[in-house]
Amino acid sequence: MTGGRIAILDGNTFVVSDTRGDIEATPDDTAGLFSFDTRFLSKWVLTVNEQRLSTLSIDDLHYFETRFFLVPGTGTIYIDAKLSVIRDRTVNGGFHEELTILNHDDHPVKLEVRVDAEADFADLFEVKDVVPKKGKTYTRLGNGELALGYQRETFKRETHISSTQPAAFDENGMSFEITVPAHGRWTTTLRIVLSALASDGSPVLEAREHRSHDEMRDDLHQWIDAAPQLDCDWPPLKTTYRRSLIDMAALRFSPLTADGGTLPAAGLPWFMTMFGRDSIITSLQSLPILPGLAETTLRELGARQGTRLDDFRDEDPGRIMHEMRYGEMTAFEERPHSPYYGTADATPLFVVLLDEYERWTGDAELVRELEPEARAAIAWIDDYADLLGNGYLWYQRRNEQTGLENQCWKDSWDSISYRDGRLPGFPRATCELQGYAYDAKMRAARLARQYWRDPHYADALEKQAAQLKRRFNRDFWISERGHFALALDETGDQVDALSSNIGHLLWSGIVETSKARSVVKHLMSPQMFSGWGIRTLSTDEKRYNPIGYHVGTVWPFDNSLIAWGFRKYGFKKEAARVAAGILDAADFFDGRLPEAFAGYERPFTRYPVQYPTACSPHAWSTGAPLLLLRTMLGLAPHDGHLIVDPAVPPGIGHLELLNIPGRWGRVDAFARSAAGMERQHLRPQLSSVRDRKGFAAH
Amino acid sequence: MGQVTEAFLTGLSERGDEPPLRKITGTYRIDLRDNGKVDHWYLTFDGGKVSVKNSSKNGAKSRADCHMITDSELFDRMAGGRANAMAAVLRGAILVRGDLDKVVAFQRLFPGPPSHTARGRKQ
Repeated sequence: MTGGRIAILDGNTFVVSDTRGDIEATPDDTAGLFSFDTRFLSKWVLTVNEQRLSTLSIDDLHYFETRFFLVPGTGTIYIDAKLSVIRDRTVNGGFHEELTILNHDDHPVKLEVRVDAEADFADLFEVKDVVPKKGKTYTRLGNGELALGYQRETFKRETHISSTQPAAFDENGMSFEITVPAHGRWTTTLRIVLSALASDGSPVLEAREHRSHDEMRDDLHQWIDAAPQLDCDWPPLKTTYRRSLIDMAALRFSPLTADGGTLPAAGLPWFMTMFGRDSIITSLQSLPILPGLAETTLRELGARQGTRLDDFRDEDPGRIMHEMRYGEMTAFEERPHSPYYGTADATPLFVVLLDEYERWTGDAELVRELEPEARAAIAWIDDYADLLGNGYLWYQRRNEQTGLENQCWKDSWDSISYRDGRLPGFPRATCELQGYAYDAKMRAARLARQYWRDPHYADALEKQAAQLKRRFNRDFWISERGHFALALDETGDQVDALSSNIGHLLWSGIVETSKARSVVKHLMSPQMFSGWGIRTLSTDEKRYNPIGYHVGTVWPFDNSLIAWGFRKYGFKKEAARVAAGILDAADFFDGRLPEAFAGYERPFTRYPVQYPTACSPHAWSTGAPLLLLRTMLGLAPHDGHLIVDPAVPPGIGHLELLNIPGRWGRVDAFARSAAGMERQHLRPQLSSVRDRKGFAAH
Repeated sequence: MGQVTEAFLTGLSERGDEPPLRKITGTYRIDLRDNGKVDHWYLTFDGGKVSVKNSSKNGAKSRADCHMITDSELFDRMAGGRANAMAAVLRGAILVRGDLDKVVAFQRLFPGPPSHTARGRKQ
């Protein structure tokens, strides 16, 4: 049992090993100890008497700690081992590994224990693209440690390996000649400390003080205790909720400038960094449960808001960043991520989050503090993003080598297509971006009136928003089909595919009321709704593929925003039905929703087929159940208090969420399904329970 | 010391009401190295007001909230929009003593590259 991947992490430091705890990376392989987007260990292999080990079991104790129970030998048949080996690994900055060997025999045993270590200092981007290194690696022995290093000009990274028990270090690792007494044990703690240095040896990226294992455990418990408590009659929801809280704790990332504050990174392990879109959407989803994430997200993204025109980074004044990276290729300007700005939605969504955050928390101070950033974000929409000068938000990358082609959330190459499968040219104006722009202006108007003492600005914004809404409902509406186009192309023609993007429009409020029912009907049609959730693309479109990344799969986060939109326009039952499908799916993944799953019709597979993806947990999938809770309970802040207007799918029964934090202090929300459980299944699924009106997925 | 650097730093006190500049408070010291000589700059930011002092005398070292040390050649390129400051920090080409968030705030004041292909109303 050596296949499979074990990943543990703390912030942006993470270890990916096999199930023995060993790391053996090849240049394009993803195993290793990574920190700040650099691989600090590419080999870490334990042997006892020159033998590799076999795994008996693995305890995933916490997201930052794993314990491997091993025995010597790699045979496939059962070995009556007289020795047990335990590796207890905790990630905190670098990592600690407590290595314990137990002798079960009646006599002492002499052993040679060895750990081979190597570091290739690959940039994460190099691991993906296999680029040869330009600098030199070195090793240094002395001071009771082995130091592995890499230097390219002023760029220097080092891995320091030491042990609490005396070890014989050499350039390839360390050895221990030990005798373990009869029925006795031997233990050492191996310590890996990482450093990013300038040429004079001073630290470049000094991480906050590393916390002890106990501090990390206490922190996790406090995180869970501070969140509202959920109870209900449908046990899987309780599991999913708890899983989301723990996974969100693991996904927290503390930028060095945030003074200990944390924001949600995009996904574990490859996207453990600040992202504009992902951090904002996850913060929005989490607001009712974990409002602190939004504050750090707003501050940190605001602090990095664009100020100049830079083609390489696709930066404009007022633009909110897309992605920050810290590795060698970014440091030498071979990649644009310092940060990279190529996203069209993060800027309006930044304003949306600021307003939504204030509605929940009443934190007027932050609204005043970020007034210049919010105004600059609004100005970006009109001054820099209206590439064709016709009042829409467009995107087209200026960095044609390493920039992103599609700067909306569906960022794969074929995600934006006409019904007949053709791909439009650039620039492109996808529909949801216009909704975000509308919402941003409406929300900024409220903030301007209430906090910035600028009613003229507020009036102007509302007027612009109203004009945009009118224009949008005319230009994007496909009247013969009764839904909005996915986008406008560079000639102003409609990109006419039926897609999930139109669900976001309801959330943003840009849809004229008379058109809402038709939009909802399309989204809940068999072409779009699989039974588990709403597909990214309709089954009738040429590019539809149930396992295509953005052209047919079901994304939980997408569905959570659509359900929120349904609630906004009064489609309670449809919102509950989407929630039921996604929460049913979550149950099949033990409460941890994948980034996406296949768009197959529900009766066809009977279980949701996960889209193969490298990241789990994924931030906005982790946030989806939190937002679905909000939509089911109908939670909405209004004039300083919290409205509760539940529409809970049949089968959940009694549902309560206690101690919801906000400007009201803490309040409780209670709800009950329209009808109780009528059928008992071994695995009760929400969507299989009919209510009196016959509402059920299948 | 390059002319670009001097124009950029002395120009900070005339930029007035720019929000990214108004956001910065505190003191900065910038040491620019050039063939064994060090040129010292002291900047104080206070709600949009900026005072800039230059001294090549080595004795005049005062403490600052944020102290950056780099080569004057590199600073010249940053001040001309031809090098990126955050990338330079990551590769150890700018040594930072003190608050990193002050560096993040300061680097927003550098101009973009001399040419670009952006479209839109403001270009």
